[in-house]
Amino acid sequence: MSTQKLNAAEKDVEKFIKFLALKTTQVVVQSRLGEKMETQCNPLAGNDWFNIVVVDHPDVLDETKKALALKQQGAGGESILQRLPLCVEISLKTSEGDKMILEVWSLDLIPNGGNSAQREGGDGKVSEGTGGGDNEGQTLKAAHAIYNRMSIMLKSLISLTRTTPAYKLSRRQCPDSYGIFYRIYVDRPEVHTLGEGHKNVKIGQLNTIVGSLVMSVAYRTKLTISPTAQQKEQNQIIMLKSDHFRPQSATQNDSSSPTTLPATGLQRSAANDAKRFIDIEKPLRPGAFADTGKLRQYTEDDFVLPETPPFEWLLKGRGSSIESLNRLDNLNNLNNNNSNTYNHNNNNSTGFKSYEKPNERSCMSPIKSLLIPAPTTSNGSASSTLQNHHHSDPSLTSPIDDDDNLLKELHFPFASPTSHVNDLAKFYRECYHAPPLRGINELQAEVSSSSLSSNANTQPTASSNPTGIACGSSASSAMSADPSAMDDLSRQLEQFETSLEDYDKLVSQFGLTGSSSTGSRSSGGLQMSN
Amino acid sequence: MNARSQVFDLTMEGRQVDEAVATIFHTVLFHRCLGKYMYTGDAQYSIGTVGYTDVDCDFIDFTYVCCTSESLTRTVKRAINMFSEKLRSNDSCGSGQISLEFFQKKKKSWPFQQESIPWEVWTVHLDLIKHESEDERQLCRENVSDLLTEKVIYITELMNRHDYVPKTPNQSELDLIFDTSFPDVQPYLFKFDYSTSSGSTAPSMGNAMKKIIKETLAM
Repeated sequence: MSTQKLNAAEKDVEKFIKFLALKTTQVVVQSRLGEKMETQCNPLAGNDWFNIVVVDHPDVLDETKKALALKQQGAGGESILQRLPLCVEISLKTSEGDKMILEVWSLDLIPNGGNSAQREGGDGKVSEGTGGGDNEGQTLKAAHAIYNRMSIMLKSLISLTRTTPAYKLSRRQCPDSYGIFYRIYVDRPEVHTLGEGHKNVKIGQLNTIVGSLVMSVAYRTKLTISPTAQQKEQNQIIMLKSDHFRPQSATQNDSSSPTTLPATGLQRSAANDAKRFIDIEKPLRPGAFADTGKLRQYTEDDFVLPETPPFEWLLKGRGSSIESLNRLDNLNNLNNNNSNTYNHNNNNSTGFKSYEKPNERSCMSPIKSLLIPAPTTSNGSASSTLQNHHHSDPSLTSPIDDDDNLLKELHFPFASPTSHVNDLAKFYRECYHAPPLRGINELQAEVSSSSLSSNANTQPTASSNPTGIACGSSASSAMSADPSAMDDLSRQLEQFETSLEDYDKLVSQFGLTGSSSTGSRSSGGLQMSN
Repeated sequence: MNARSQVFDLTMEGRQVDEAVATIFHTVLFHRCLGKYMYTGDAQYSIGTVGYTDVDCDFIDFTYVCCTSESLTRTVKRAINMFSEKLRSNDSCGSGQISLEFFQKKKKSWPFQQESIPWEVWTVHLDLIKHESEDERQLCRENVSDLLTEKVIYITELMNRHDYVPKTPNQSELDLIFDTSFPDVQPYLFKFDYSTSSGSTAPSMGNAMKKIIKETLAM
């Protein structure tokens, strides 16, 4: 009877260990998904193992089962006890193909000889507390006690998975830079792959009648990909060197490949930052001693003048690069127009994108909005419904492109799907898009109506000579903008000149207060000495 | 009164206090929380399950795990807040300690008060520092994170020792061991206690009052 009882107890423990192994891999892998976890309590006796809600990820479950090669309950199959050193290896792989193993979580069973002497299976003593003594080597017999200790072990595992360096890395992972991968295998943990100075932490040890169960983790502490590893892969260094010069050339002759610059990965961009050359995508910063308050005011004023392209008179004087841009674009558009009116819109937006990128620094959004209606005016003679189609479509297509960019930026690594950050992102997206769209439409309506009225006579020849119209319309807008811009500048100059006295006064005040303060200080010093 | 006692000494900025203490206490409580017991018969019961939540700290580069229980989180937060405010107030000299004490009650005959016997005490002793530069602050942010990692590892190590925890009693005496007031989890009976070294006598009176109130509430 006692052997029967022992067998039953062993079976129980075996079952517990099996489920502990299954849950262990779940906990470890799920903690590396890069998301915040939240599982809900179920006070009404949920049937989760170890009374902890760990939702099973089917892929991980399959992988674990495959690794353990668990046979069904039938006799002859290898039990979990023989399979046990079960490891979950977490590794990092960069977008460039470099791989680094970060940590190995393992569940091992160390067989203890001569335990068969302990015969009193504790199955009956369910109410027994979880271990009565302080001896760590004590063997637990009660199924209930083992179950409870496993529950604590699993809780410890959950807590500890959040503390190792790999957790922080996994939360920051993104497909552009690196991803976190897992591998489940049955073998001794391969700790030699973790580099020098790796740490070992024993999460828990549980002595049972079938052996002592040890859960532990070994993790890497040096988180730099060594240069020797990179040297093994040929040409890697040359690649990096060529990268070193690329952004500079991109700033000089920009129009050649504008998309390559933003497409570089995280590591490269980090290297770029280290070099500290001028990044055209960043806003200009005020100088070291500039009065930031005044600077801000000035830029706000700048924003108030969106009707005309800023500094257009400068461009015009130098041979009107806007017009050349305009002409090119119109050519593009009209070629597409002739072949397919629907496709034209897509190409149109991409065309803008490629031109936009190098000009982003000068904040040319007004030019962009002016450029859009040019083809529609030439096309407007065909039908008004088509025109409407054109008006609405760029506004639909171009935001989708923007959306892609935005989504990348709005990939909040710390936001769980339930958090409010998603709402914020949605709100931001709405805010980001709505105003410019309305502006475009209004501008289109205005410009198209004005050009329609002014170019009414030339409309029939529009399709034959589109560049002329486009030039005319943009030139006329430039002409109208030119004097106002000049006026504005001269007005500003006047303003500065009139307030020159104030500035002088201010400067002299500073001088005075400075001298008075030094005076008082010196007098203080005198008093002290007296 | 031979309760196990653990003391953690931490040094950090004032604004990191709440999160650091919460990290330690929640990690402990996560291990000391069971699922709710649902009695089906006198001796038969089923145990509910405990969910867990990741919590990201704002002022420390750290994420800790706690039970998914709003009421428990609120209780812990309130206690830590009171301590933290006291510690960071002007009349504090920047050091103090807060402890999380697990206890069990002993039934006494009527005229005597119920006796609480602590069996495990976790104390966090805190010293506040101020940083001069942002670099220093950043460095400290990392240091505190490393420190907490160490503490969490230590806590789990202790939890997996075969130390004494009270036995699960019958249904009628469940309240003597567990705090059954939470709707979703069932932690062992616990209470918070704190003190700051302000020197004056008035706060200690307040503490005593609070202790009395807490004890009466705990009953």
